[in-house]
Amino acid sequence: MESVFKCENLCKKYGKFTALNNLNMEIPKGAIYGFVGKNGAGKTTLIRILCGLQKPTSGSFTLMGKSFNDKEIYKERKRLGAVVETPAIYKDMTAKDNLIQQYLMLGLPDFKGIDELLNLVGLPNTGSKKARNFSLGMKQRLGLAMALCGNPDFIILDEPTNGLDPQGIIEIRELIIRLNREKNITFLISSHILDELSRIATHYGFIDKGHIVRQMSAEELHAQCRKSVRMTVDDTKILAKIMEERNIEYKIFDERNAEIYAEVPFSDLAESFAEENSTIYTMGEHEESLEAYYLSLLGGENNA
Amino acid sequence: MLRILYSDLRFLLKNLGFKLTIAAAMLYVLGFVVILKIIMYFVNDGSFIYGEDILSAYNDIAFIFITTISVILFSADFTNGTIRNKLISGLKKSEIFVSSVISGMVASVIMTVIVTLFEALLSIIFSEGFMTYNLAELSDNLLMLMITAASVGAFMTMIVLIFGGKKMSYFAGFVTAFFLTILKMQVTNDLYPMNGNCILTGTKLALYTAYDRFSPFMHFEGYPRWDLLSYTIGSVVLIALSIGIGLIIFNRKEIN
Repeated sequence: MESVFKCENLCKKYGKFTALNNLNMEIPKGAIYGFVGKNGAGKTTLIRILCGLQKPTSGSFTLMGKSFNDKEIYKERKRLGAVVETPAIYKDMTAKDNLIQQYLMLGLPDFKGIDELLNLVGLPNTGSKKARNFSLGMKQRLGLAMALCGNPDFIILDEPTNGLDPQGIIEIRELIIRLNREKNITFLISSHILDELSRIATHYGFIDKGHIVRQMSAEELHAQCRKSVRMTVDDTKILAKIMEERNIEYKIFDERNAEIYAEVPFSDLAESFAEENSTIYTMGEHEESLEAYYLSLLGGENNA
Repeated sequence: MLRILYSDLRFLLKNLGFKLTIAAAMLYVLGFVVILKIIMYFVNDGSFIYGEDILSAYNDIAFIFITTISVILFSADFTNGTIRNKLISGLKKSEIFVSSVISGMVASVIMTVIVTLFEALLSIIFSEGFMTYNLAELSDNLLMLMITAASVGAFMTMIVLIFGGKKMSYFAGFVTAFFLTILKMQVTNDLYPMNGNCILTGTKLALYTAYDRFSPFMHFEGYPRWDLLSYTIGSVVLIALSIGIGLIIFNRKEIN
């Protein structure tokens, strides 16, 4: 498997505080890698190291196949686009001027494609409006446009949907999917909105206390997430009795709602409930969310 | 290197803070002239305002304006995060540093030229003329100020960049400017006392004289005391030191 980024035993210490602790991670080429972890888990530290803003205390990594201590690694960073934490923009400039700045820094020969980029991120008509007057959502879009300058192969987005309205979130999600599919751009996306991430990510990395707890593909996660059947009945005490008899795991929410963790034919269950003079009102399949999986991985809600 | 320099200079020319600082410096000079005029009107002892008096207005606090410009331009690179874009765009830290220092020098020179020309204009309007200067000397003076502004701009930009983005960079910049202004007054008063002769001797006299002759921080004067070569040597040394020391520190610095 070809990877755009791979690190081994990566450590980063700030004085006595260990931000990254023997971190091992691999981002496959062409993936949309969802990077999940609570605040202070080490996500941004890793992104900073990856972008060349900071140096690791120990360990090693490769970016686009180049080792981190290779003097030529800065050339590989030209193939990188990133929005780290807040969008880095020049506030006294218009959206177009900001992109011209980025084109100049990348050493691009002309400014062709700037209007197309602005259209792509949904900022076609900002005209002479200065970036300082943009809403947070517009700044996010401009930051994304800047990350897209120079047709990068690998884009890092730290909370890309921060400040976006629901329509904006959908647009950015679709843009990421389109860029990934059409241009084979690899994405590393750190996000707290796990349900949003679960709609686009092809791979996941769960980080906690500076090390990767689990790395998996979306298919593996799908298989790992427990399926359940959510039921609404007239009395969950009877449901509990039936499930105990059948040795099926279950969870009661209240007097009428419960969840069972097994695939049971509806007719079978209906018969059992009828024998107990009880009624099933609704019954539907339910899949554990990424959020629930994340919580179970990190040891409960207190950890989130 | 050229692409980042072009980008930095473009940013400089579009920066609102840069334009406002120049406007503030011009306003200061205008205020200085107006107050001087009012004082002269009330004193009415037959003395005049000479062009030289007006030309020294900006020079006295040029450090503060140059520091302000350096802080506005380069701490913004850290607070807006645009320095991250530069590194992610594949630029080396040394390129980013040198380009910023050159931009700081250009910004300081542009401001100094604009404000000095404004002073010259005010001198024509509000003074009785120049007591000693002729046009050639005025041009020489402007050239010296430009060289001095460039070196002080390089030094102040270095200070801001090595403290990069933290509140400390504002503090360090202005404390340095304040300290250098006090030192300038001290050296000037000791070497050229208003009353009587200089009483310094030995090593102290030699040190003060060398500082007065070569330090660009002493060059912001209405009346140049030394030759252009001395000023140029001092400025070139300060620029070289600012780049050399700054590069060593900045290359080791981690960016957030």
